[in-house]
Amino acid sequence: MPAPKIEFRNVTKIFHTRSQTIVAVQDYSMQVETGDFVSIIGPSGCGKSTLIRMLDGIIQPTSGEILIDGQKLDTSRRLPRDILRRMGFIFQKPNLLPWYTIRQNIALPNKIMGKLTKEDEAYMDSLIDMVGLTHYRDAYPVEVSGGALQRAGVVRAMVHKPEILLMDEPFGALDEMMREQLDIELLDIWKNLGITIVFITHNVEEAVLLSSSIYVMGTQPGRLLERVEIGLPRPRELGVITTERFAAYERKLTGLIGKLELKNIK
Amino acid sequence: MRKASRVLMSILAPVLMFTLLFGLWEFICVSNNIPKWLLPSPSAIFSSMAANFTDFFPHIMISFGTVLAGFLLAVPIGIVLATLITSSKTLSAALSPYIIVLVTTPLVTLLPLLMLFLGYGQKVRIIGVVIQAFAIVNMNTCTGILNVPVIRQELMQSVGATKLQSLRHVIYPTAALDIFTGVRLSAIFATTACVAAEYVGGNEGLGSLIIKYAQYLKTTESFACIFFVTIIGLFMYGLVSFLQKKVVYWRT
Amino acid sequence: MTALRRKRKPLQWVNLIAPLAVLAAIFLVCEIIARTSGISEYILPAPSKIVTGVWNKFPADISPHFLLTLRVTLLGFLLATALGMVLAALISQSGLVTKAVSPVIIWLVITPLITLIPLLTLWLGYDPMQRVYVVVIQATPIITLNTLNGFTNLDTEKKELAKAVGCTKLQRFCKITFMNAMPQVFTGIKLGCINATIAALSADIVSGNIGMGFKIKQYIKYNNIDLAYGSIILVALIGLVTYYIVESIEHKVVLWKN
Repeated sequence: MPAPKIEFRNVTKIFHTRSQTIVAVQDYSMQVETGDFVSIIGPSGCGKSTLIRMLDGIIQPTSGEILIDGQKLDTSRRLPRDILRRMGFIFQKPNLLPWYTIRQNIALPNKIMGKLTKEDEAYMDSLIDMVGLTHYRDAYPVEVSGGALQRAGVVRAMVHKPEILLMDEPFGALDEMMREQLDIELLDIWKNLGITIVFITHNVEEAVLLSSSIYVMGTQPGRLLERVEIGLPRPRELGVITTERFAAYERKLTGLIGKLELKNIK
Repeated sequence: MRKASRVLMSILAPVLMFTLLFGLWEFICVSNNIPKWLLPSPSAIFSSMAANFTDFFPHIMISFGTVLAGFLLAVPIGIVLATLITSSKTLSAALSPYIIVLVTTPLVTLLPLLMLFLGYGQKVRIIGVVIQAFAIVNMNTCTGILNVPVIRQELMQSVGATKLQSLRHVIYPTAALDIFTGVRLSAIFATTACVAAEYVGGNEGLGSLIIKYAQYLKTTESFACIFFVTIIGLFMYGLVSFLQKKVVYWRT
Repeated sequence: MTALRRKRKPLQWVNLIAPLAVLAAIFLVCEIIARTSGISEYILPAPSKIVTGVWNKFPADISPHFLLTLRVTLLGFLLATALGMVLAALISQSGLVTKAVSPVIIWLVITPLITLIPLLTLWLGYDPMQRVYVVVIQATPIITLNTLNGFTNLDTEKKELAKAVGCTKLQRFCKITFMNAMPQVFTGIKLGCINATIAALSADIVSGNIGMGFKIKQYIKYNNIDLAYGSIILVALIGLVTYYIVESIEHKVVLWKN
């Protein structure tokens, strides 16, 4: 049996501030198979963003191990480029740089990680066409609408052909309709490219619609509470939302999270 | 149409204002028969600027050279130092009070000492200008760099950018407006510092001319020199504005 | 000219200890070099000698000069702050006046008004307190410029808020325009503070036989280099303390910046 694509082994992250010590993530373990689509869901402050930042080497874990393809990451320092190359990070905000055009922004990871070859450029332009940004290629971010900006942010994380996409509530700032549309587009991309996706969200409907399995986290300390397998058939269309099975999953997860919120209030 | 008239207004209003100002000054001088040594009229000052231009010219060039050389040295020193200081939290905590000391200490106090060691030449005055002008660039650059949003830094980390790459692609562009604020102030401080340096020692440059003419009650010539200092200041201000337009081409 | 803000940091031990450690290190290194390297004490006097020199000379020799410069700087700075803000408030009342006067203010900011020191001496005589005028004319324009920027940069949302709650013109200015401009006002005041010390010391040097600028020149003339260094440090302290006082007032007033 091949090693899982991503594995967390008893990962703990503790932050020290001036006045207190915060356990952001406690003893977290998870295995994600190659080509899987998993979501991590939980109330704000449960450490879900910290998890994928640790995987991408932005934050160093306090203890525990993180593995990619069965290979342990040296998390004591910044990750080497050949490992970073295998991942793409998508932020909650588009996070585009206002001094570059959309195309220059999208080309940035390739430019930084090495040379931008003709082949890379062709691939990049095909991605730009795929998400419908063709007309905006040479526009500056300030001239482009929110949905298009976020699409550009998604494409930027994919130009270097990563095997893993890490998405930190990528569509959380968009309106409901735009979000659903991008969710469906994302499913297409995932199916076409066969990449592994770890998706952070606080939106239950979005998580059920997209994922094969959902990790539910609780706060104080941030930890894994439960793993829920989503057995809905693929490929999924937006219509699946109205089915009874979908509603059942949604109720189950909402129940889990609702309990959490109640406990927090107490 | 409305826009055109608004643009016209924003040009016309200041022109009228300056005309009014100089007209009033002229009128007061002429109508009250104010002696020239007390307050020369603008027309007298302008004609002195033209008539004595060949005498003033070497001094103008010396002052202008001091300001420009000091400014051109101060800006990169300020930016590079700020980059080094902000690269470490401890370093920035340790040194930021001293940057404020450098910003708030008038360099004229240091100049007599520098001149004792290094003589009265232009080099010493340039050093003085650099000391006064680099600190404000440094301070504003530090501010700009420390205010770079976390997610932009994370973006650079996630693509494995080197320190130099993230400076070039993210940190300097993000801090550009703050840096230019510092650069504009440093242009102003450079002009002030140059005049102050010329007050302290040496017998060249517009600052020393202003004192010399004032001592001989040649107030008109003194004012003519002051106006030439203004022109240097205007040039520096225009230079920075031009550079800012060229460098910061994007909108946010 | 709107920055000059520093990132607000909580008071951590490192912010206090680290600068003091640097100070101690400078002191120690200079002391060792001065004592062992044989560099002439006319170039690098031992820090301990500077401290004891200033300590001994301050009461009789330095204090009159120090107090004069301090008084000129502070008085001029306070007057300039008040004048600069009042001018900005008056100018900002009319869009046309703002447009007409702004270039004049920029002109005054980019012309070092310390160029007028020799003429002021001519007009007003050698009374040391006339230096207050020098400080005022050098420090006022930059305060006016920044304050005016703040006053005229009120966004539409806040203007509408003022209309919606039915503010009178005076209320709108005091409660909304003025408070909204606070960060820029303080930037202007800090720059004014820097300009004030430059102006006071330049005036000391150009005219008269009293004041720290004069004293420093004199100490150098008579080869009392240690006392010259000490006097420079005292002047630096005037600027630094004034600046920190302004900054701490800013922290108290502009609470919403963090």
